[in-house]
Amino acid sequence: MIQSSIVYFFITIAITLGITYWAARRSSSKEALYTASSGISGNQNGLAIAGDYMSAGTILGIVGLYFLVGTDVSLYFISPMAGLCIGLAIIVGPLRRFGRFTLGDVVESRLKDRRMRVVLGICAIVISLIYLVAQMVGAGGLISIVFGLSFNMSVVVVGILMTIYVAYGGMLAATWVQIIKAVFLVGSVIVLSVLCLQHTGGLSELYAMTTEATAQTRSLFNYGNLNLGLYSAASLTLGLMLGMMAMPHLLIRFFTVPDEAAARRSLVVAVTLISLTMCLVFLIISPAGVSMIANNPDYQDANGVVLGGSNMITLHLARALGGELFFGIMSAIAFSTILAVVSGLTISISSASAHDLVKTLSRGELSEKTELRVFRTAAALTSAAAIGLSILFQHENLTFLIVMGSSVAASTTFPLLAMAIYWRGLTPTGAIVGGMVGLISSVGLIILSPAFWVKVVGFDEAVFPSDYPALISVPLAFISAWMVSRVTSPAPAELAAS
Amino acid sequence: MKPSILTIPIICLLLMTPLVFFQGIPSTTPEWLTREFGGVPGTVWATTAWFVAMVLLTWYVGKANTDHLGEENP
Repeated sequence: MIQSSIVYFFITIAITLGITYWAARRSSSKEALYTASSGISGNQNGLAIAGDYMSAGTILGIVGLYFLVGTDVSLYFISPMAGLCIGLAIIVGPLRRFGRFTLGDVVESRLKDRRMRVVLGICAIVISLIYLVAQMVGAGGLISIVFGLSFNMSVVVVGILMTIYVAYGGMLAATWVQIIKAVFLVGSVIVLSVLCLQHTGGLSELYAMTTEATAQTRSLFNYGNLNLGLYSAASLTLGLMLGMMAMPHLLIRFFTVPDEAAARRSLVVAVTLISLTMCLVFLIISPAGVSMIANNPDYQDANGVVLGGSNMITLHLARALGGELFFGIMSAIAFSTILAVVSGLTISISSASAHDLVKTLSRGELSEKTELRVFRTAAALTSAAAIGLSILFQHENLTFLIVMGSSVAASTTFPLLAMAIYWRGLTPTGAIVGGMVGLISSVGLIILSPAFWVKVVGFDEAVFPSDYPALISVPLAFISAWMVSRVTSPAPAELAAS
Repeated sequence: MKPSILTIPIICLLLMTPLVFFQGIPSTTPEWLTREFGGVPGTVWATTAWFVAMVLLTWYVGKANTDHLGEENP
């Protein structure tokens, strides 16, 4: 373990626990725990959303993936940006207007049927859990490399910390951890980019170095390195695009601001920060990583593989250009990034469990005190489940897990939210069938895909030929919701009137 | 002027279509896109321009929707 990393590791934990202690004294009510009492400003929420979007997987993973597929990595950040744009246009405003704590609020307020809470709650839990496991797998690998802990110990440490943050500090603590982390992350990306250009002498020199680094990097600037084919490229794009604006942990952030205008402003602020960071990562840091680190024997093991894997290229670059001090700071930022994102995901699961599932199944007869107890218990159970699942899936491909979560979100929460908000003909039964068809088809096709059926289960040939189900599962969800709505009754008139 | 509900998703899908084609069927990439401009490969400039276009569209949507706040209420 690097000495500077140890120091920054404990500083990070101390700061985040301090924030949690401060937030816990202000988070005694349900409103405070779930949504920070809607007291976060638009600009603050924008920083928090940017922090949620720019997870360790995004920053470290994009650079790592660039080393493998070059310019093709663009699908992984342009598609979600398109999703944020569509979300700003059609989802954010109505979401803030009709929702209070969870996505279930939005759909129930439109369809006047409490069963919708259960459906949305299940979808939110499944999506957030998949995403949480992906983040924990990434966290375990990163922490074990940077801080010298074993994988299992790493995920246990992250699990315990996230339970403390969420159970005691709630959304207020998670938001402020995200805000501080986002500021440091954007700042460090700017500093690293300046150091890269200073070292190489300019953008054209950087690309000349990258092109000359190895014969392999020459093809990095051609499209097609992902070997997707038209169906998979379209399906991956659709899944990332629609999934981005249907991610429960991102959408519940819009309940933390006081009104619709602040919700919209927060997304514009987030997009500004994300675009600045991703442009620097794509244009400068990624090629610099390839030219200075990926093919440098000083950062390779005996087999010629980058020490710690390609996800570590950014941190190696920070050490090469900024020394041990900058490496320690970057490692601490990566660690706080993980803590912040997993906390947001845990809040999403805990609030869906307490507010949508348990409260609805107990027919609403749940005191606030009991609901808060359920929320905290759910946070602890989520943490335990995430630790177990991340140990089980520790060798699974990270990108596959993230795309899987996005595809399920695009096939479940997106059709339900879009139809509930914009189509008056949607009936509760239609919405339930649409949501379930989206969930079963997306998860089913993922199980039958080469990434799971062949690589995980061990069969010779996959039943479904692509790893990306969205192009089939999203239309299926919409069509089934539409067809069933056409032949079933709307909500009772007296309920609709209320 | 505030864009209608369907306009923005359609524009986004249309903007993404060429990128999907280039990555799905690499042979459809125009030859001029593989040249260098100012020492930087054309595909890198094109990808950055794609991203910036998406960001500008998002800023426009944010401004248009805030100027007409409430009008898109279904």
